[in-house]
Amino acid sequence: MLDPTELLSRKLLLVTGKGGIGKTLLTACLGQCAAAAGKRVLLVEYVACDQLAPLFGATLIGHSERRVAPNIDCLNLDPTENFREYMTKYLGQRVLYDTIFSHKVVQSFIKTVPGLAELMLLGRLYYHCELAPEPRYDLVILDGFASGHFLSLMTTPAAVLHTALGGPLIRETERVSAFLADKDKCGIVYVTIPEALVISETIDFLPRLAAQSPTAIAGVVLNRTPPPLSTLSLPGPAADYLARIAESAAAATAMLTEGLAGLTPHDSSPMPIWTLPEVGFIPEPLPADFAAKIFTAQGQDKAERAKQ
Amino acid sequence: MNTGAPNFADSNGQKKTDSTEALIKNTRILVLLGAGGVGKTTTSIVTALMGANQGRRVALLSIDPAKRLAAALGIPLSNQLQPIAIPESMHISGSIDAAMLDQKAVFDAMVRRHAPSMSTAESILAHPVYQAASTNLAGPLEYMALAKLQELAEDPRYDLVVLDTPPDTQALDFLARPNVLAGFMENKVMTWLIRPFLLAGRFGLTKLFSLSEKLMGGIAKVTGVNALQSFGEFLLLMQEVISGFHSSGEHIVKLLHSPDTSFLLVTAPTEAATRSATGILTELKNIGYSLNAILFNKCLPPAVRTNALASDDQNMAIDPAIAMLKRRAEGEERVTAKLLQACSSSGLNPLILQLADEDQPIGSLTAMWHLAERLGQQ
Repeated sequence: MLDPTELLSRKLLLVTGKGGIGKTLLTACLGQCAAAAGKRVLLVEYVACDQLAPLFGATLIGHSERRVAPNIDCLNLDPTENFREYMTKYLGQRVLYDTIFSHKVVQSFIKTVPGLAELMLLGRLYYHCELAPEPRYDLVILDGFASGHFLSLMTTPAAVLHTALGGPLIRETERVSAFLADKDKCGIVYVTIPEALVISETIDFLPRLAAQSPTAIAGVVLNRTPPPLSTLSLPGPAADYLARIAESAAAATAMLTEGLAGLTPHDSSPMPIWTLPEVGFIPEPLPADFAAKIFTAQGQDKAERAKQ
Repeated sequence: MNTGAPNFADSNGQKKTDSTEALIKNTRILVLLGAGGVGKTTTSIVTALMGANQGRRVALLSIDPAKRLAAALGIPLSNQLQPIAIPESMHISGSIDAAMLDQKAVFDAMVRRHAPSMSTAESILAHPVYQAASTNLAGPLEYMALAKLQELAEDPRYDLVVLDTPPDTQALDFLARPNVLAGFMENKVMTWLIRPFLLAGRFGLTKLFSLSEKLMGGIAKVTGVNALQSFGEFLLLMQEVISGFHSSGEHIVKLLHSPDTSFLLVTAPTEAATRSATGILTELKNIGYSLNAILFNKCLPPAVRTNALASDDQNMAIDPAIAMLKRRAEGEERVTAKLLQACSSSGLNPLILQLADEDQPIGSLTAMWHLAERLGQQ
């Protein structure tokens, strides 16, 4: 069960985890919760195909902030467009951009300058959190890259600052870095699932992330936790299956708890591990109360069982 | 599962797929496609095992696999092919040589090869900017995979090449326009990208990343604060890259269009994976390649699905977990049908394969072999 109140008090949440385990869904759900609490939310993704928008029944968001639900905007950042905006809007260099940077080959170059796209992405998030004209979004959530790529995203500012560069890019990077390191304002949410191989990767990865990322890990979300076993279920393949997945998930969960025991990224309290239930199938679009339901599902489950 | 669509004939008018075994038998290059997290790398290993079981000498190219997976298979992350030790108990007559392409490993190898001395190489490898750059760059890995593919296709030591494509490959650009590739295949881009680090070696560490510095500085200067002093140098550098673009990638195109090249799309029965898969098959069709098989991975086991679908309201009221399974079974049927519909409206009739989530391996070759047996029955 996940009580997101503390989590959502931040300005920027960065969601990451292995591919295909529910990062986008969690991003959407956190957005739903924050919006329900009256916050204005921006959900950001950085992918070839919109994945967030279909969860809100919208398609083709692309590179512009678009309202997908009350209080929720979505944005699918395009690296080239982001660069163009950075140049023209924030730095007022439209002519220069049009004459030089709009060139196709130069654009492909921009994509390959080490770290540039990453810096622009972090810069854009920072802009929406701290610099944009009022009223700003109360909360920005990035549906982040998968683990390995995410780690290099987070290490980019330090790597750039490590060079002997000067100038506006470095000053900007310093500001972004300081913002990312503010644990009251920014936090990473790591998503994982109770499967042995995935958990062992999680246990390998999180200490590295904690050591190298300027932003603190706010907590770990254990997604797709199978429902507790019912003694009332009719015997058959379905009940057997539920028993098997419950058993292997319990073993994996124990492994996670043990594996993260030494990891105390902020103060000395243990790393929070929140569980979210296996919902079976993710409907598109999500019902408006989807997040509220899954964030409290297991608690309710237990309560209902207690009544019976 | 049958789409009921007319049999799909590939560009040479032959249908080559009635079963997984037949597909692999008639294939010399197998290209796996799919979104991230659907089990593509696992499937590449499983199909390589099936090929080896047919007595073939298989070369397996995996890209950025989970490190654990590589470790479980006992092979290092490297762009060099290494033999996989297949347990005798599997009675497999063929062989598998695998390369687990890891971007950083590949860049590291290049630095070591080009650096003037070992100590320079080590100081470059340890530098944080290099470390960020060598893992950040998207793209080169795909190009390298295709370059390697061409090399292996001509290598008489192998008669089946299995190519796992990078995770989250939405745009099949690198398959569509391999002539853009040619430049990359000559390693020009990569050499160019690591040149700052090599220059650093030559001129000493104080000048480290002088080139990157100029490029980054160039961007900063473009902001209007300074003059565009380094922009000329920047364009000069680009010149080298641009010249590479004009080289030909025809050979790769020919290889990919060859009748014994097959494409296997791996997907999972979720809305998100189905959307990606639909995009991939549409794009594949547009580029002009055939789709020979779709693997629906991580499905609910058939007996469980039947059982869950048969549960009535009363079962579900008693046990919310059964209701969850039923929702999943219904959802899986719906999106599977949706993808098959997309296939038939594109005029595709690929071999349809299915693996249950329970069959998923825990990262050993033996578990992979179990999956290969499952697929061999289809």
